[in-house]
Parts: sequence; C-alpha cells; structure tokens
Amino acid sequence: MQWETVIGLEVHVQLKTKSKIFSGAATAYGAEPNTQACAIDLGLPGVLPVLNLEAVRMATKFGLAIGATVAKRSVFDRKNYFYPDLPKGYQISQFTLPIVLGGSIFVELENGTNKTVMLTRAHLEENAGKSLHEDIAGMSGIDLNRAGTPLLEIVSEPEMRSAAEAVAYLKTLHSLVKYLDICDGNMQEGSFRCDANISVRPLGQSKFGTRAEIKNVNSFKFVEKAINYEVERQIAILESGGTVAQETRLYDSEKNVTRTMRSKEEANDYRYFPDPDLMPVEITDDFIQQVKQTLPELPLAKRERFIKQFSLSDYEAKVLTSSIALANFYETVLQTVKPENAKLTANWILGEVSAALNKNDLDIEQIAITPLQLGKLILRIADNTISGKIAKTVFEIMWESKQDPDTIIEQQGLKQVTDSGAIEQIIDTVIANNPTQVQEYKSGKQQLFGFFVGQVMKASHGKANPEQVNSLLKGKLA
Amino acid sequence: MHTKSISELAAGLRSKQFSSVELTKFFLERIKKFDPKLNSLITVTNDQALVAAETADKILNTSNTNLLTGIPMLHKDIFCTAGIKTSCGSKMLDNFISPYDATVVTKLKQAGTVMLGKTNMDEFAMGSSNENSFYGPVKNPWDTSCVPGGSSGGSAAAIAARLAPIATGTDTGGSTRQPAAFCGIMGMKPTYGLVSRFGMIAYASSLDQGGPMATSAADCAILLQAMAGFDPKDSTSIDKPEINYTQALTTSIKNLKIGLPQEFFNASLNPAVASVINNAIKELEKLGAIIKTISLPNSHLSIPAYYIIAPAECSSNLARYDGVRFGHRCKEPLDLEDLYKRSRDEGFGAEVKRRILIGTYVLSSGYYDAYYIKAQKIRNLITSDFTKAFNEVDVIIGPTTPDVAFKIGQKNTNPLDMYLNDIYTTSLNLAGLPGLSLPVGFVNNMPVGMQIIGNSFQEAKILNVAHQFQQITNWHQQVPTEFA
Amino acid sequence: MSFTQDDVKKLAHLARLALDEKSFDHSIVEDISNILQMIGQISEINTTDVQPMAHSQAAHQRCRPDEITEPNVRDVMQSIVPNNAVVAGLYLVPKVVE
Repeated sequence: MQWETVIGLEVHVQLKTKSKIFSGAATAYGAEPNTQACAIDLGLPGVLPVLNLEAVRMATKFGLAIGATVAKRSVFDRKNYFYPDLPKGYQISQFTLPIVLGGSIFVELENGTNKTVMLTRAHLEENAGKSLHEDIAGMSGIDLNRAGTPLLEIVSEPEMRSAAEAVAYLKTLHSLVKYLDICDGNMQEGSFRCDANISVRPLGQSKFGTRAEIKNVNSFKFVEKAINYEVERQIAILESGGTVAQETRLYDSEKNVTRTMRSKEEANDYRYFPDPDLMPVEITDDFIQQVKQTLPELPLAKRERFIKQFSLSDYEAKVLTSSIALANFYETVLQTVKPENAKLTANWILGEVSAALNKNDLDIEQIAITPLQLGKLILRIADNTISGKIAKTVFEIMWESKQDPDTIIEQQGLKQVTDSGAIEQIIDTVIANNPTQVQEYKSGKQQLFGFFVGQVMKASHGKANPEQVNSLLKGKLA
Repeated sequence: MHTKSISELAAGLRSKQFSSVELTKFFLERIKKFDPKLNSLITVTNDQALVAAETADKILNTSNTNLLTGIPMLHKDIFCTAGIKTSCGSKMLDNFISPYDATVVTKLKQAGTVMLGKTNMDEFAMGSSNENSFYGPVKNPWDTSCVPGGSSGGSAAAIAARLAPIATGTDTGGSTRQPAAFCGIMGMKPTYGLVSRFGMIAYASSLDQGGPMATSAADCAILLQAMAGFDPKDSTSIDKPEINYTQALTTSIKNLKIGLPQEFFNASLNPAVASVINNAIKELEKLGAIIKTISLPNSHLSIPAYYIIAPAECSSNLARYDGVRFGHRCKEPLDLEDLYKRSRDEGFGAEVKRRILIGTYVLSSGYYDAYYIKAQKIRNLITSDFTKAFNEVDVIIGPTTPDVAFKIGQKNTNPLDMYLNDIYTTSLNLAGLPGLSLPVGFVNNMPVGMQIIGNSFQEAKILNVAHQFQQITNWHQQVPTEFA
Repeated sequence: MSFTQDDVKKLAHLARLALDEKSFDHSIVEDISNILQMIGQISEINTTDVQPMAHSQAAHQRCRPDEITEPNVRDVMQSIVPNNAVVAGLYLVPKVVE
C-alpha cells in the first residue's frame, strides 16, 4: 500500500512589540517570574483589555507581505478553557473573523523544486503563561510574564506532503517574519512555535485521513523528526487494521517519539463567542497604505536585485538573502568596499565568515567582527596589501582579538611583497640554490613549478604576491 | 442633616455650619445605629473616611472645590477599592483586598467625596432581592420583612434610610432601578459606555453599567457628572463631549412627548401600582408634557434574551475565580481539578452557579446558534423597537417593577419567579439605553417607582423630567418613619 | 425538553464546579430545566434577516500605542494570594502533568 502524507502547519509567531497585546506590561524575555504581569495580565476582578496598535500593524504587514486579504473588520473571540497558565479562564483570540485571510508563501525545496503553499488565515491572540514543572513541594509553579504577549497564529492549508516540505515552509516563514521585523525568530525562547497537523491516506484517495496534532515543536530538526515518526506511527496503525485517534500529541525529543498529551485528552468545547470587552477592529484603506509603505524589500525581490546589482550567481544571492541579517551584513560591508568588490565580498561571507560562524555555532547576528572591519580587510585584498591567503590568517586573528585588520597587518608584518625587484632577488636565490630541480624542470618536469613557487613563498614568509611570483618565475625559468 | 441634598450640604460646608469631618462622623453614627436593622453594609471604612474628610476640609479652605468635596458617600461592593476589601457580595472574594481602584472610585475620590463604606449586594450582581449575598439579606427600610430589591439592594436601602446622601450602584438587568423603586429612592442606569467599567467587577460585560443612586434628580445629576466620562482603560467606553446634567434640570418639559408602551401596562402589572403610575403621569401632563401610547412589540422577549446573554457572558467572566491568584482557595487540593472545582463550588452561591451552568449551556457546541446568536438577534429587534419609538417620542415612561417589594423568602424558591421582576428593566440593558427610576407614590405603604427611559446619551433629558416632577411633588422626600 | 442530572454534571465539569455526589441538590436539575424552557421561547420568533447584536454601541476598537506603562507589581499582586500559595515569585498549583 502506498501512503501519502498530508501536513498542515500552524505557527505561533510572537510579535516583537514592547508591551503586551492587551496591557502595558513589558514583554522582554528572561525577567524574574511574574515581574512583568500586571493586574490585567493576572485577570484580576474588574480589569479590561485595550488593544496594542503595533500588534495590529504587524499583523497587517504580514498579511500584505503574503498577498493575503487584510480584513477591514475583524473580531476578538474568547476561547474558554481552564488551565493554570491561562489566568482569565479564557484566551482572547480570533475565531470567526480573523485579521488576515488567505495569502501564500513561495517555498523552495532543497531538491531544487518549488511549491506555493496557500495559507488559510492568520489571526491575533494572546499568549498564555508558563507552567514550570520542577518539583516545588510537589506543586507546579506558574509564571505569567508571558501571559498576554501578542501572538500571530499563521495557519497553512494542508498542502505539505513530506517532512522536507514542512521544514522548507517553516524556514521560509521564519525568514519572512524576521525580514518583516515582526518577530525575533528566537526558537529557543519560544518566539516561533510550530504545531503540525499530520495525517496519512492511501495514495490517490481524496478524502483526508484522521489527523493528529503535534504541538509546540521548537526546532526545525525536531519538526522533521516528529513528522517522520508520526507518519510511521500512523501508517503502522492503519496497516494493522486500526484507526488513528484524532488527538493532540507532544514530541519527546529525547526518545524521538510522539505521545498523547494528557491534559488535552478530552475534547474541549471552547465555547467561542465574541469578547464583549472588545469592539470589532476596523482597518481603513489609509492604514493599509501606511503599512504598505513600511514593507521592506522581500527575500525574492532582494535576491533578484543582488543578482543584477552585484553580478552574483543565483546560488550566492539565494544564500545571502536567506536571512535579512545576513543580507544586511553583506550590504553594510559593501558600503566600505568598492563596487567592483561585491563578488569578492560575497565569496568571503559565504566562505570564511560562514565557516567561522558554523564552527562556533553562531548566527550572523552574533558575529563579533563588524561589517566595517570586514570591509577594510577586503579593501586590503583588493589593493594588494595582502594576498587572499594571508587575509585568511588576518581574519582568524580578527575573530579572536576583535582588532582592526590594519592593526593586525602592521603588528604581524603581513604586508605582501609586491616589489618585483625584491621578488626577483628571492627567485634568483631559489634558482641558485636548487640547480638539480632547475635542470629537471627545464628538461620537462613541469610539475616542479609548484616546488619553486613553494620555495619562493617560504623564503618570503608567505608574503610575496602570488601572481607576481608566478609570472616572474615563469620568466626566469624559461 | 440626613435629609439635606448635596447642594444644601455643600452650602453648609462652605458656610462652616459643619465640617466634612463632622458630617462624616454624623453619618457613621447613623450607620452604627441603624444598619444592624438593615444589613446594608459589608464594610464600614471608619478610619479611611475620617482621613478623607480631614483632607476634604483642607481643600474646602481653598478655591479648588466642587459640589462633591467633603460629601460622604457609599460604594457598592462591586467597585474595586485599593487596600479595602472588595467582596462583590460573595464568599469567593471575602478575602480579596483589591490592589487597585476602579476608575469610578478614582474619579469620585478626585471629586473629594468621603467613602463611608461598601454596600451589600446580590452575589456578583446576580439577583433582584439582595437575598443572594454571602453576607446575608438586606432589609427594606420601609418594611424590614421585605426585600430592598437587587442587586444594588445595600446601596438602595442605605440611601432610603438616609445612612448616606449618595451611593454608587450597578445595573445589568435593572439592578439600580428596581431596588430604587422598592426603596423609594432614585436609581439610574446610564447609556452603555458612559461610565467606565474598569475596576467594576464584571457580571455581563455588554450589559453592565455603573450608575448613581440618590434621593433626588438634582443629586443624581451631580453624582452622574462625576462618574461619567471617557476612560481609555475601558475599550467599551464612549468618548463624548461632556454634558452639564445639572444645568439641564431646569428646562421646561412643556410639549415634551412622552411615550407609554402599551405592553408595559399589561396583566403582569399590579393594578394598584398602575394606578399610582397613572397619577404620576397626570402630574407630568400638568407640566405640559404630551402623552402618547406607543408599542414595544418585542419587549416580552427581553427576559429570555437577557437570561441567555447575561449568563453566557458571566460564565466566561467568572472563570478567572479559580483559587490560584486571589480569592477563595479550597484547603489541601488533591489535584488541579480538585483545586478548581472545590474552590469554585465553595466560593459561589446557588444563583451564581445556576447562571454559570446556564451560560455554559447556551455557549456550548450545538446550542450556540439556537440560544446565544438567536438571543443577540432578539436584542437587535428590541433595540429597533426603541429606535422606532424614539422617532415618535422624546422619552418613554412606565412602571419600574410589576409590583412593590415582596417579602424576604417569598420568591427565592423558584428562580423564574425572581427573574420576572426584571420585566420592565432588562430591555434597556439589551439596547444600551439610559433609564432611571424615581419614587411616585405608595401601595400598601410600600414605595412605587416609575421608570423614565431616554434615547442614547439622553441622561440630561430623563433627569430633567424627573427633576421637574420633583418640583411639584414630594414623594422623593419621604423617609421611612424608623429612620426619619 | 428533558434535562437530566447527567446533563448538569457535564456542564458542571466544563465550568469546573464540583456538584457534590453526596449532597447533590436535585432541585438544580429542575431549576435549570425550567429556566431553559423559559429562554427557549425565543426559538419561536422569526429572526430571518436579523443581524446578531453583540454591542449596543456601534463603535470600533480603539488602539493604544505600544508603550510600557505597567511597572513590576509582583509584590503587591502576590500579597493577596490565598493560602500563601506562592514560592520564589511563582504561583503554586497542584502538579500539572503534560
């Protein structure tokens, strides 16, 4: 039996507003428990919510970026259920009339194919607090700092057909929300959380199978593993004649399994109804126009421009624009170097810089070297002060010491030797000291050329300009 | 002193006949003497009142005063008062010391009033007799074997017994107007959105409104002026230019068109009460008003619509009472479910539980459209009735309640009996319209209240009508003998 | 309609109200049945083409600027926690198992 996987993804994006969606408490991550939970967040008797304009703006920005319809009128509904991290006993969300409808995201898969994933909707809602399950005298501790931070829940149509497609979609969405500067994308801090709705059906069948929801997976790697495990689990059940339960499950990353989430075992009747404490949100054409003006250049458009403007290859442009931070870093470096160095700069970022970041498990946002410093290094390569090879050494020293390239070149005496006379002198000495090899080379052993180059570089402590060494050596050995 | 109006008290304060401290002590003495008979107060704030009075006396020596500076008052125990117990009439909040002030409380503090205490009420504002309070029933000062009405029964009884000149109340289905009618005083529900709900513990969010309770239209106008106004902390608060309610009182009501809904004068209305109302209407005719019969054909649907919408909203509003962050918490919970269920079961009284269950039902899957959505459509029909009526008339008048105050214990065996008390009042909450009740006579020595209903934001007009009526009658000056 | 004890129990569970098995007050079933019957009369009313009315005022939501206006109020807020069920700034509840 051939099986087809059907995946729909719900992503909860925490919007990077300064204050909460319905109160003026702070949203910064990492504060002491309950120090960012005001009376409104705690659901005290008598308190009332007032909507944060920035949350509306960010949701509108997202809707415009994905070509969705931004609803002129949307309504907040109450989702009623009891849980310790939900102080009011209901979550303010949007059920019937969300702020964003439709839209699509263009996804490029690793195998080179493309897919346009349609989105169902995106809506605003408030985040719940956190339950800490460390044993505090047999109790759980509740921290409500996170309660009331704004979320944009983004729902895709069930159009993904593999874990790979799901991950590609998520990565694209992740990059997009950072491009739009509406989310910091920090998955460890929970700013970008994925729920996957997974079902399988016999290939060719149009009716959907029963789906299970895997909640709150917070890394791309785990999403892939969770989906793969779940698909196998469901297929195994169906192939042995059983039925898949429609339920909510959690992914256990240590055991690499999904399991039923106890608290959601019973089907919850959320009794959605419009929140009487809030009025309908009206968005005017003017507002939409204002927000449109603030849309940044989106990834694909930036990629096209990089290709044209900087003569980069498709691949180079794609990687450089995969994150707004990387693209911005690149263009900031370009402010220091000359226009003709754009390709060289790209090579450096995609090469040495990326390698160093990977080795140290850092993102470009965390790089200690400034774009100005990298720019200066590239200028020194371009003006022949140092060779490309020496530049790598300088870069390593920059990485550790955070010093400026010129300082390092001075202190380490790394300026390359470009004086033809000096190089000729070194070549003459090498030739004089290696008569046998000269003989062998002249009688046909062309591969010995490398030996001579090596000797010259060694004698010059690596500082002789390689191109000049090459052309002068050729001349002298002819 | 206890029968003086705000203006008279204000004059006395300024002419140094008495100080605010003396005035405050006077009313605190009355409370001490008389309230054991009424049980109208949950908390008496002796010390804080005297401190506030001292401050008021200092301000009275400056030019930075207004009519309410130094005037003692009471707050219904539904308004959060910082540092002071705010119980909402419930065991659930018996231990709740509010960390903040409601906007209404802040405004009245800024106006210089002196809070004497928090008044008793039906638990979480659910009731029409003040028999649903954790703190015991309130007695009607006109006959202490009778109910004062509810849910603002404490405020109504206290004002009727002249334990304070003014008080705040709240009204979701008639809870300032009906007890005002039963106790022979004035109670008002402003237009929805005029008075801030921030800090006013929520029962049914789209229906609740705080309002003034006093003995005269003039005093209601002064209190309403101080309570009303846009509050950015309340998303349902309406931003409207300020109106001077006191100034508008003296307008003549000659040629004012008054509508009498034929549906309000039906078999449910005690004929004796109808007679008193009709006499009152004749007085208004003497003042030149023109009486017209109108129809509010869907008004009979206001009770079922109200008892769907209010419980629905309350079932959600009361979900926050879970024993975790404030309020009543059961002892030694076995697990999370036990914590929730026992804390809530122990904390809430029977009527609150009934309404939570009804509310849960009408919102639940499969019933939401048939009940909740349908009720909101009925709400639309009721509102349309009023809109049409106000094309023909300026104000609408009728009885506030179908009968006078009943005996304690008489109607609390069958909830439905109690609900039918609200037959003339609930439609205003559904439509968001302003209304007041003023005393217009007696039946069997018990007060009768007449309701005046206005169009949106027409508080000035309905106060005007009440004030003009009070210029030619003196029902509003009657005090029960025991408290005279 | 017949509203049963079971129906009440399901609602009570959704609303997290313990209805004590031992002292179960059967009048609650009757009371609720009667109330449901009373409110059920609206089903007979024709409301075709009538819009549901959620608010009596036809206004739209006012937004506030994105500013931090609330300071740390933990001490004040946690001074009112019942039975002192708070440790190290965390509200305590019986252990929740996911």
